[in-house]
Amino acid sequence: MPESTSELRPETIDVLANAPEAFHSMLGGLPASVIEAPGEEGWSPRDLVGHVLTVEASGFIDRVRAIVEQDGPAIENIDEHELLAASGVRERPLPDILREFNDRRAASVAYIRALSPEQLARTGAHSVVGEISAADIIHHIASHDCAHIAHAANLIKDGLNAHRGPMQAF
Amino acid sequence: MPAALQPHTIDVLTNTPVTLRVLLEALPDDVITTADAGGWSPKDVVAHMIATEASGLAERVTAIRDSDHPELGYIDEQQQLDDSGLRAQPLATLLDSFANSRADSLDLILALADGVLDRGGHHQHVGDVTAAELLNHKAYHDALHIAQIADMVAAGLHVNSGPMQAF
Repeated sequence: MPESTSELRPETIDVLANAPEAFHSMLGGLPASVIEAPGEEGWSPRDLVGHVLTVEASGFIDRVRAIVEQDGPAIENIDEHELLAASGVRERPLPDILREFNDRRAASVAYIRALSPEQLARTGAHSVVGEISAADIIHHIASHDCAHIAHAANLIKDGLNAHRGPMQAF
Repeated sequence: MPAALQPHTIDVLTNTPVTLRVLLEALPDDVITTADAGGWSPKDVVAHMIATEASGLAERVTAIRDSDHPELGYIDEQQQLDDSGLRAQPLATLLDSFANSRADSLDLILALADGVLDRGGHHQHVGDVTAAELLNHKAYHDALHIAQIADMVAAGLHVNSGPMQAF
């Protein structure tokens, strides 16, 4: 099992802070036929934003708060598909989802910025992977943001592919 | 039957400079200059997008607009990037240059007369291609490189997420 981290990489806070704007700038103005079209695994670009919103509390800031404020708390695994399906967020308009994600993320980033090195190094017990630090969770969510920004870009790319004529060779 | 311009092609082309800036502008040098397995860093990718903006888009569309079925040369993207000198420029300069080049391209595209998008040229490697197909291709190319950059930033964070790397 990889070792826990106790310090944040320097880009972490900026990645977290900028993720809502990255989704907004990439998806803003695109038609519903693109925003709501699922990829092969079943999620559309709108679903991806809904997913990052629904994990913001239970997958991110609630876990960090528990680790900072309790001694070695239990961190339960979450079923991301179940969480999204139960949230009702898939039925909401994209601008509404983006607005809530932006607001929630701003609050999360404000909390993270105020943490001391000692607080970032505190740990909890994840039900699947064992002992994890607050810094591990924060790095994981920043990486998760980027992975889903890439995922949304790939959905846009795949939707354009068949309309490139012979340029599909490249 | 040639492909039509897609309803979101112009929006994707318009959004890309802002998305690149949001993704990259605040990141430290070691992130924006670290190459992936393919040999390009996030900064190199932006340099590549500038290098292909004129020769891969604006010049081809202009040739189709102004000529009858022009020849469209093949571009060796790696050679073009290496020769451009762009890799040595700071990221902030590259982001500004790309935004300016893309704005010029969009001015050109939005001013095209009716029917120009359906006209074509002869690409040296793949044969007949229309202006609409070139624009769809460029939007595809934008999305591909945004995904590439986001994946590169993700990779550096993922390896620092301890046991959470299991997810």
